Amino acid sequence: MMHRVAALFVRIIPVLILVSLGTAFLIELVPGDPAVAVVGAEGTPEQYAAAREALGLDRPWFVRYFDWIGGLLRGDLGRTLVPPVQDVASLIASRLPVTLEIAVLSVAFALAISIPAGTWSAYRYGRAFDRVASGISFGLISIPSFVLALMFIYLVVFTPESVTVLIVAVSATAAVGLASAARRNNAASTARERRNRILAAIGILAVGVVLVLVMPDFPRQGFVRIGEGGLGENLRTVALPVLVLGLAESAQLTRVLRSDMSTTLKDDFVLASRAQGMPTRHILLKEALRPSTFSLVTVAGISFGRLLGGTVIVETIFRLPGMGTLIVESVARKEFMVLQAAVLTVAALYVLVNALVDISYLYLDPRTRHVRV
Amino acid sequence: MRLRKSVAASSTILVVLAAGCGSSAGDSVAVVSGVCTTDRVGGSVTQGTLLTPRGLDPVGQPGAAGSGGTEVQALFDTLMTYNTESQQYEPQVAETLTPSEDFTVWTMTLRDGVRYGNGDALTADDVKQSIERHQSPSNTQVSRGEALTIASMDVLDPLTVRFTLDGAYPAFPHVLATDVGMVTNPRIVEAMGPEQFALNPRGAGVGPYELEKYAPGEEIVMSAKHDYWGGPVCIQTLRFISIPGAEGTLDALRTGELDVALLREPPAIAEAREEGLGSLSTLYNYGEGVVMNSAASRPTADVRLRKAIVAAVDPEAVNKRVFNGTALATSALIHEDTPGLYSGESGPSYDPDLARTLVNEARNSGWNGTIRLLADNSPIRINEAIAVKALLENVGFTVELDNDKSLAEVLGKVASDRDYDLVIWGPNYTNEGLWALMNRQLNSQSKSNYYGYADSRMDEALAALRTATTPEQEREIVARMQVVLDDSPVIANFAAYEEDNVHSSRVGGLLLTRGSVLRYDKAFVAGA
Repeated sequence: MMHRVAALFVRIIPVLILVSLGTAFLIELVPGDPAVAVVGAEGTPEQYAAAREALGLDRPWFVRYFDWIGGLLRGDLGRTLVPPVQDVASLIASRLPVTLEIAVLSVAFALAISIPAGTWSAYRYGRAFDRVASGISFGLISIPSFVLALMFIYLVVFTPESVTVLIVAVSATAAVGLASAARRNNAASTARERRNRILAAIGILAVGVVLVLVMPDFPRQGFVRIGEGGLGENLRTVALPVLVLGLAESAQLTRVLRSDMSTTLKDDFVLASRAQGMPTRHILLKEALRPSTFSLVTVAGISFGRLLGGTVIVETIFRLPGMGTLIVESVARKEFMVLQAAVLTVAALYVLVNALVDISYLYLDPRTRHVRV
Repeated sequence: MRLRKSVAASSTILVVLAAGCGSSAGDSVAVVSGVCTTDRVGGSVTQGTLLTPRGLDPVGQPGAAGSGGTEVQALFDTLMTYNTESQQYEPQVAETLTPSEDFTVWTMTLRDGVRYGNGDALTADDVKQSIERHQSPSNTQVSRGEALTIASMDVLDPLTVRFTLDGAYPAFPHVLATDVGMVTNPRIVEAMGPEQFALNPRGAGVGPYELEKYAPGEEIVMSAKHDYWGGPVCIQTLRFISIPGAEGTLDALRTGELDVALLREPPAIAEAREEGLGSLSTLYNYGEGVVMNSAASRPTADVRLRKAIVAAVDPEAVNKRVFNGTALATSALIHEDTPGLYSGESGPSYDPDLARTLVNEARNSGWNGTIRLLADNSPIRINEAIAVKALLENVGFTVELDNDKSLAEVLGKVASDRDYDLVIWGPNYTNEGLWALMNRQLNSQSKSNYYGYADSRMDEALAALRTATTPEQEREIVARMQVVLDDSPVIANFAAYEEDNVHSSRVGGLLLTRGSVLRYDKAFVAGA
């Protein structure tokens, strides 16, 4: 197993070299001249030429690239070209935590929704819950994230009373539905199941009450770091972006899990468990879930990597100082050293996450441990 | 049964809670008046800016409010200040500024007891060293040209400096009201080096605020100085952030995340005013138009074509198509709303028939009828370019539109490469510091004249504008310039534009100074 893990990490190196080389080449193709931004609009042709020379822009791109690689090997990622002149490593160090936090929370939120929803959809395949969950998933997949972001801003920031009404409507409807189901004297349901439904209805209502009472005002934009405003304030500022990105990701994760799990639930070992009288919870969580999560883990890993690259539109809408906006600004300003370093960082994290996903297969399915790489 | 009753009771509670959670938004209060006093000390203000600044060193700033002007004003203050209400220059950190009879020598005395944030006393020698940084060839910004009007500086005593200029300049206080008049503590600059200083100028200014945090691209946070020479400073914390887009900025004003914001787009400004937000606006003449490259190699070197373009562009049509009628449409050099400078001169008229005649004349002289129009890819500029293209093609031009470039790329093509025929552009002339602004761009001898414009009558008018001593003289010269521009145009202007510092009713005492820059030294938060 250690051999396989080591082999995975060795494969990362050439990927990163190719990524950085490709980035250096592509940024060279982007039109623009950082010297103009450095000198400003009122410069003379001589000043522009002097600035180009001082910044090394008069040298071929591959010479600049190898200079940068040399610096990278010495731990120096360079400095920005356009004032204020900053250390690129510090710039990335200030932006990466924002993106990491958003990505981790979004994927965690997406999994928190998709695992129970996907599992229960598979269990209730073709029935009311599955149809409703599928409809919501398709809806979320169809809506672009920036539209979702603007909808959330309108609802949560500008008309918070509508969110209160929505919470009341959803929780009351769910509670009344559960209570009605419990009231029906269905031969298939036991007294205990009916009691559980009533308790669930009360629980949903209680959650609704708590949400209405404790829901804070969410900011339209901005980001507060934990070290500056505390954890509560930090979470308040990331709540909406995480909700937007998490919901969008949860839709496809739910679909993937539902599909895999519905297949797993037809497997012989599940049927055997049912025949032995195992409770549903045990069958779903202990028996069927783990073998159904291959695709889920893969897609979640890809989603996480994509979020690390930055969801530029969402970052822009919520004014989050993350890696996405840094990369876009770097392209616009032709800040090649910032761009190369940022893309390399994201690529390194991306391949690392995917390597971890590969490694997770070894846990999820012991049979893969014996496959040679 | 008891459980079901519980469900019903909980539902009722939720409905009651929902009804009680109605929004209280929409309450509006009149903008507060007055200035900061000791009983108004407290509170914080967040301002939305247009662009992130190029650091916080006054040297190397473009000098505009939209890119850090208000921020450096708060940290460094200025020797002189421009009062937009009286349209007069007033001493600020300086106590007096006195000219010689011919306005070539100016003697400035500093206020006694002014100290930097680190406790050092401000001296006349610091002023000299600070201005020398602006004059250095390494400074490529506008402030260098302003500072180079000073031929020499003599420190007469610790509080007195004598400026000898390169010629008569009655409006010289303007120079000391810009970034050039922001004194930086030379000891801190030397200790830190210019690059680090631009990131952390703590302790190096004599302004009302001290820097607390500077995260480029994120935010700038400042705290009030308790020993500010012009104190007290009421607003305890100032925060500057940049929100992309005018609509996003307006949203943030509505939610209270911003208290003040600098807006530039006419529809957004109109919306803010309709909603009752406070307004401190600055008018920029020749704000939006089609700049024509007059350099010899260009089709627009032919003055007939330049006149044809001016006659073909209808300001009202562009205003309706692009700004929903909210812009200050005009073809004139000076819009009629310009305080103190409008002389009654109207700009050239929209005359498509004249334009067609001139285009035909140029075609008959061998020109192929094609002209290139450059515009950046911001939504407003794209719309402007489309409207202008239609107007030009209406009179016989064949327009090759290039509007897929970023503002930085367009800036490179115009200012650095000078590779354009026509560009959607705004020279932006305020009535404050008018000579300095116009001279850079329209004087045939200016190295920053990337319009290729050369007309001896304009050069003469600019020389006269520099030495004008009264508003009447300025108006007369500007009227003369309009005649020159009608005969030998450089821009087909279609609008003056405003920059507006809109603010919520909770902030009072804001002072507008030159170039849309705000002063916070007398500002306060109502009820803080």
